[in-house]
Amino acid sequence: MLRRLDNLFDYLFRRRRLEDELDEELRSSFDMIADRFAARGMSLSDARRAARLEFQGLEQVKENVRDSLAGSSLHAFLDDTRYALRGLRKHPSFTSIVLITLALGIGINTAVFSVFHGVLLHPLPYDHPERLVIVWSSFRTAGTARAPVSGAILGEIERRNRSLAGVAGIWTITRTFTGENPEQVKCARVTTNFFDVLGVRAAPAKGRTFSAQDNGGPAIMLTDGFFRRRFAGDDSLLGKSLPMDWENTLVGILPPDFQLHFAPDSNVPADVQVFDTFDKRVYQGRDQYYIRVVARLQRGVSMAEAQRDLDRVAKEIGGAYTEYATENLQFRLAGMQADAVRDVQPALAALLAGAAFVLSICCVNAASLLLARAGGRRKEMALRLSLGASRGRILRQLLAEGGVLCLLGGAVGIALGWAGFRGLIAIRPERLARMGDIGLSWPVLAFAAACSLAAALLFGCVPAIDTLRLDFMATLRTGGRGSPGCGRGRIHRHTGAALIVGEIALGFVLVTGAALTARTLAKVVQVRPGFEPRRLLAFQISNEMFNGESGNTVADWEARLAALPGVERVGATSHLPLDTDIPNWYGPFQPEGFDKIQAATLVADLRCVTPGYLAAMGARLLEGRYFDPQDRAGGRQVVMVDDLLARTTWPGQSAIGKKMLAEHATGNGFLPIQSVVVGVVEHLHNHSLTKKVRGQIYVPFEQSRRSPLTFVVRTSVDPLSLAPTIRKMLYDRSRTAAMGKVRPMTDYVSREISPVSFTAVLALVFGILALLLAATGVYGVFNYQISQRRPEMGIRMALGAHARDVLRMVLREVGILAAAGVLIGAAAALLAARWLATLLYGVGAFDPLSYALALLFLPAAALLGGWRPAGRAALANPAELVREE
Amino acid sequence: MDLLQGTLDLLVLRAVELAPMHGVGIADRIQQVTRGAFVVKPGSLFPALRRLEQQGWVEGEWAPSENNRRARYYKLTRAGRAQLAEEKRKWYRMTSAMNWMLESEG
Repeated sequence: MLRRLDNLFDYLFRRRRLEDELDEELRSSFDMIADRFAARGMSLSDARRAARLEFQGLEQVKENVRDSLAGSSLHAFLDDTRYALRGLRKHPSFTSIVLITLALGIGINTAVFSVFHGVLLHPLPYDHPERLVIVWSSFRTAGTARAPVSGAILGEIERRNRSLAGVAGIWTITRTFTGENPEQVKCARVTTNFFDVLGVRAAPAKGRTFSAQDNGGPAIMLTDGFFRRRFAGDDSLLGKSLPMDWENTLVGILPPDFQLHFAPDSNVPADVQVFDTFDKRVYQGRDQYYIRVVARLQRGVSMAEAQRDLDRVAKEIGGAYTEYATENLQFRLAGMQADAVRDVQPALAALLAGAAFVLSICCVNAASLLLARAGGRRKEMALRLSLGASRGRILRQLLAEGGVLCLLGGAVGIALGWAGFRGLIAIRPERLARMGDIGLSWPVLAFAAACSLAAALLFGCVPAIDTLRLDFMATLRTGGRGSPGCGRGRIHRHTGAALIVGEIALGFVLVTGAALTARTLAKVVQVRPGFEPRRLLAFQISNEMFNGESGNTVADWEARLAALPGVERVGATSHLPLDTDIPNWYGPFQPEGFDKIQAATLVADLRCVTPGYLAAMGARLLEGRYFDPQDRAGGRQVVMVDDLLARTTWPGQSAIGKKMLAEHATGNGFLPIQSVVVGVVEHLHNHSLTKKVRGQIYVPFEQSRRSPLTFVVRTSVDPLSLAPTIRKMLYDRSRTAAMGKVRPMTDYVSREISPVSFTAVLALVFGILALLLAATGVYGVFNYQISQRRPEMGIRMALGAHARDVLRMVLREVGILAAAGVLIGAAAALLAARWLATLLYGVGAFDPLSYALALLFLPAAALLGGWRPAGRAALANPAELVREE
Repeated sequence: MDLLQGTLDLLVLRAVELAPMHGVGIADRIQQVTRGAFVVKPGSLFPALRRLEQQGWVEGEWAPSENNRRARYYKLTRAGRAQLAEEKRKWYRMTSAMNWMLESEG
């Protein structure tokens, strides 16, 4: 083995010496043989001729020796590669067009796959994340199949299941760090086994995670980032109490890479900074559904088995608690990662499919260009075949050319893809935040390599197959040019035609997709979310500071805000629209005159608001009045409803004056209280720009106090410019209160729009590329075909055809191919439409305008590509064309 | 007579078993000893020599020839000697097997 390697080394690096030695040895042997002939009495020249005969060609012998040595196949490969490089360098325009085409295709796929991989495939950073599941509950009054559970249910799941290794609960609240710069942060309240279930430990030498004894105790943990930022990473604080609006002991710091990954409708935001534990009595709570459940499957238990197990648990719970039986409690399991990304998964899959389409078009284009070139080189190939080159050898050379192109294209493509990926990170929606953590990794590189390889096989083989079928005698006879009507030429043209049809069909699907997503974006941007987001500042304050003493009420604080220069209106709410951080508040309501059964399915979003809130938001009053300062605690209980609830509950009647039992936050928990409707406002999009999820009931803050409050300030100036003034005002008032989430309302809206615009931008890029590629593809194929068919054109013109006729003939051929491509493409687009429908808003999947655009643009691109070759054919001089033949 | 496939190596190794020899000498010796049955042309002899040298069974060395030309002399190495013995054994096994088959009765 060693010797063989040594020989290979010799062969590769001391070839010069070996060649020289061989030369000398052969020459001396030749001389010896010649000597021998001379000794038999031949003349010197006769002796040499006889020796030459005996030797059968010195070069041939050398070639035989070279072939017999180790490393020779490697050498042949290097030769092929060098030859391919030389050939490509000689045709810089051809080479650069193919390279750019390939690099675009591979680059786009690398970029899109990086996103896809980073978000969907890269495992969550927990221990054996594939065994982590989210348990959703559904019950009659939940109004959703993805509802949280009560403490009692959490306890029962833990006790009764036989398939889970651990069951943990989480929900989020806000806490304030007091001291120099009071700061409001998101705090996750968890069961003490939460980190054990995820398999996360505290950062090394930074304390511990929670243990069972911490239940309801003061123990807190901080994220690494927050600990460094606010406490300069001071380890001496471990085991001590931090300045906070809550009794606490810092027991540990989480590792730097720790992050929560929950779906947006879990209301467990990723930027939670503090963790504490549930109250000791958490498992006794029976009527509040607020806990999100994450569990770990036992080793070897499948999802389906666990689901069956939980179905049984639900039935048992129904047997033990009558209220859960009437609610028809059910559980649904979902893989943690799949659950966290389920809202972005369809869009990313569609984008990856689109990118694959672009790559296919790029390959088709490269194939047609190579085919055209192979056609131009047929004479060369035929000559080499007839001179004794084996078909295998020529095939190897063609494949080497494809390989070199793919390697270069792949390298440029990966670079392009990386740049594109950085660009995508810049415009990424918050929901795709995770894609930035991963970046260019081995799976991505492997994917890019696979793309290049697939491309090489796809487009490298077409010309190779074409060459294999080469009948070299016929080719030499006709001067390397398939004469019109000759079988070879026709097969060749058919291959080119099929490529063009395929390219236009793929392009059609991409262009309709681009048009549909662009129109969706336009519709989403135009949506009126039920309020006016511009010039509106929002920030959160927990209302422990409003202790009700004189001069320290919410109304008083609002009055001070309203007096600031640049402020037009002020209000506050318990739940800001489009803010997913705070768990939604929704519950059953019972209008007067409805019995329990009629009201059984009635559920509405509930919000407590101050009198100025709805007006400050710019929500239009449709009937009745807004709340006013007279609607206070102890006064008449009033509510406002949105038009959706008013219309569905009392169709054809005015809602004003109607009475209903609606849930209120009271000192004794949440209770239904009989209230009268005093106003109807337009529906505010609480959860999504594109969906009206459920009707809404507004209760006056003074009659149903909840914390924290989010204040909204309608301004006549840039809303953020008021933030420092307000912060100072708050600090002057209270050293322990802090503002959190100070943001213009437009932030919340654009956060909703950004996934749509992300998809639309990429789809548009795909569509435009598809058009460009279709045009260049048609150009390449026809340009070549026209040059092959010059004699035919010449004869036609000599026989009396006008330039116009030739032009028309060529353009008609382009038109036929385009029509065929469009037909196939339209069929494919219609098939894909149903799948795309989930991504659309405001336009149907069969939107005629989008299809019309594709119908217009693709043939136009094809004709544009065919125009120049056609013109060249028409302007040629017939006499010259015929003479060439 | 055509060489049987794989026998050229054996012939060459055997030719240089007793004394180092140059390429032309090896061809001559094979032709003489086999009484002209095998004529080894340079086109197959030199590739075979290089191959055997790569395997480490023969070693080439430059030396003046009988009529004072510089020639490359090949001599059997220790590994080559072992290989020759092995090849011989194989060859005898094969020929006797062939003989049994050809001389069997009925």
